[in-house]
This record gives sequence, structure tokens and C-alpha cells, in this order.
Amino acid sequence: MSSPVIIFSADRLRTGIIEKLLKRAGIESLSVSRVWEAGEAIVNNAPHVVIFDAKNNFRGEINLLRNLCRSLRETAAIVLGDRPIVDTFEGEAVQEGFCLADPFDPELIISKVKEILSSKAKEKRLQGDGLESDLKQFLKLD
Amino acid sequence: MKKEKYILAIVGPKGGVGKTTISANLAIALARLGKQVVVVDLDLGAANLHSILGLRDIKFTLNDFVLNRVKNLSDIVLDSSIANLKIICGGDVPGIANLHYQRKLKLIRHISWLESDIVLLDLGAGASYNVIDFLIIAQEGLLVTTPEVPSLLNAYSFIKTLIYRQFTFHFKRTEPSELLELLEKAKDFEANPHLKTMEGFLQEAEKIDPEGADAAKRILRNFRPIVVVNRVLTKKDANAGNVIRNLMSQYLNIESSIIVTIREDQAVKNAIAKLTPVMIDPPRGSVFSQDINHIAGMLCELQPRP
Repeated sequence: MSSPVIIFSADRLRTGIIEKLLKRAGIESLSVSRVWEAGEAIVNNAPHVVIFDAKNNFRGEINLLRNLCRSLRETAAIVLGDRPIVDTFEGEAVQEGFCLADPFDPELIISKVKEILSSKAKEKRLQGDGLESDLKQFLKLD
Repeated sequence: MKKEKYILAIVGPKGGVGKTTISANLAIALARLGKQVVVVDLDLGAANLHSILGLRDIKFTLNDFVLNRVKNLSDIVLDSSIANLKIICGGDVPGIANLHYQRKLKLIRHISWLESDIVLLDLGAGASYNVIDFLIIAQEGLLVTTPEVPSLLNAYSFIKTLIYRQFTFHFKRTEPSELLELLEKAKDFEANPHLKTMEGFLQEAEKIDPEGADAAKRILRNFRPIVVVNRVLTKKDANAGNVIRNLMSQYLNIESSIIVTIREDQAVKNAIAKLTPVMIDPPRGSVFSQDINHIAGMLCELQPRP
């Protein structure tokens, strides 16, 4: 089954915490640690959300991430990292409110993921092909 | 020597989905395929299978068995006007809907003793343990739903309740109480979101008791619900079965469900008004009778060979 959330981070500890909290919330995720793997994972999984952790990345990799964010169509991005770096993403490559500067706040990240997933479910329902998402919502399986 | 018996149960988690109409007509279709069929009205307290079959003068009902007026369930089996088809009519004695556990076990025992190729149980609506327990004794459970959301919701919840009931029976019999506690937690998956999916439950169960988790997986592997989507008018309606199948696979790890559809047909309403089942004399081109015959043929294929 494809994962609705992809986590890109070079920091194993931060990845582990996000993965664990997502799992506890019943959300499947897939993690990668290299920029080229992130691009491939997005193509293969068509996730609803991708979490880019810019921490511990070189300038070249951050530029690649920025380009990757700009190229996303159906996938929403959440960017993590130091304030000066994440500010360069906000508004241009990532929707406002989804660039989360350090200090690292896992609970906030999970709440942003849930917000995106819930709005995606609503979107799908409005598109008219929503029997499955209606059932999931009533059964609280979303 | 007793015959090998095939017990089928028909259940409609939501009332008014056409369960009894399907029971009556399916029983006729199976009888026409040469099977000896006994259809039992187990819609306790709201029995009306006899009226769908057009039977008016009824000598015995389930009341006689429940009130101990007869010794055996086989004593109240009545002939119908259709070759190979017999019926046990339902009861309406006060309290029958809340049958005492020991009486229910006695009834289950007697059902298993009935002499017939096929015993078809027409169960009540809802997901009470009375309904669930009769379904558990059947080799095949046919779950009737309509394509609308409320009915599909009830169908999904019913299947989940059925699985949990089977787990409870098994864990009570063989496993430590921790698995029962985990099962209780899984019922409140909003408080325990890691147990929202069956996969999550099985992973946690594995940590507590690998053998218990294996047993749960076996129960799931052997569980083959047949979902009957009734009153299908459009392609979108027909897709409702696939949606339920996806949910069962994704959240309950049930992979071997069978989905069948029965198309909307005015002939059904006409037949009910005349108190004569459609299958007695189906009008030319009746899609309902075609679909019922298809299901009857499929059930004969699924029936284990002696």
C-alpha cells in the first residue's frame, strides 16, 4: 500500500520521533534520508503530505528540496529546519503556515499533517466520488 | 447416516434492506437446483418469512419449540408448496427476541441436527449477539445491504462486531486475559488510534502472545463474508460492494470477501403485494430472478463436497 506521508530527513532521531507519532495516530509513513530518494518516493507513492526536514543539509541539497517543493502538484509540503532556511521556502514553495522553524515540535508537525489529510478528504468528497471517504468519516477511520 | 449439511445465514444489519425477500427467493432457487432445503425464520420477534412465501395456515412455529410444546425442532418443520423446500416458521411469543443463552444453545444444537442438504437461516436485523451467534454456526454468511451510506455503515460495523465476537470466544477459551483487554481497548480506537486497524491490533497482540495473534490471523483468513448489495440501480450503486471490500481489507485484514449484487426490479414489489415470491413465476426478463439464480449457483459451487 502506498504511504500517505513521506518523511525526508537526514536526522534519524527526528525521523524516528515523527514516524512514531504518526503511527500512534494511525497514519502510515515512509522515511528517506537522501534528496534523490525523496523525489523517487514521491513519484512512486503519490503521497498526500511530504515532510522535508532541511536540518543538516548542504546548500545544494536545500536548493534541490526547494525545487522539489515547487514541482509538487497533488502533494502538500511541510518544511522543518532553522528559521533562516525555512523562511526561504514560505510562500514561494510551501503554503503559508506549513514552514515550521526549530525548536523541533513533533506534536505541531502531526497536527499539521492531520489538517492536510482532513482537508484532502473533504476535497475528495466535494469532487463527488466520495462514498469511501464518507464511510471512513462516519466510521471515524479517516 | 446423517447428511452433510450446508448452513447458510442471511443477515441484514439494517432493517428493510430486503433480507427476508432474498431468503425466501434464494431458498426456492436452491430447491429448484435439486437441493433439499429447510429455511428457518430466525428473525426472532419480527418473523414474516411465511408471509413472503404466501403461507397462511401454519400448524407450528418456533413458539412451539421455545415453549417446549414439541421435543425436537424437526417436529415443527412444515412442507411448502414448492418441491424440496421446507420451512420452520418464526415465533412471536413475548421474550423470544431476547432468547436465554441456554435456549439459544439448544436451538443451535437442534438446527445442526436438521436433516437437509441446505439449512438457510433468515436472521433478524441488527448486530445483537443473538444474530451474531446464529451467524457464527453457519458455513456461509450472506450480509445484505443496500448501496446507501447508512446501510453500508451498518454492514461494516456488523462485520467488525462479528470478528470481535469470534476473537472474544477464542481468547476466552485459550489465551491469557491480556488479549481480551487489548480487544477492549481496540473497541475504543479513538482513545487508542494505534489499534484503529486490524494490523495495529495484530502487532500489539503479537507482543503479548504470538500464538494468540496467530489464532486471530487464522480466524481472519478463514472468514469469508458474502456481501450482497441489493436494489442496485446504477454503476455507482454496484461499486458500493467494492468500497466495503476495500474497507474490510484496509482496516480489518479481511481479504477473501465475496461481493454480489442484486439489481432493482419492480417484479419484487409486485410479488410482495401478491404474497407470492418472484421465483415462483418470474416475469420474463426479471433481473432479480437472474441475480438470485446466479447467487444460488455460486453457493452450490462453494458448498464443500462430502
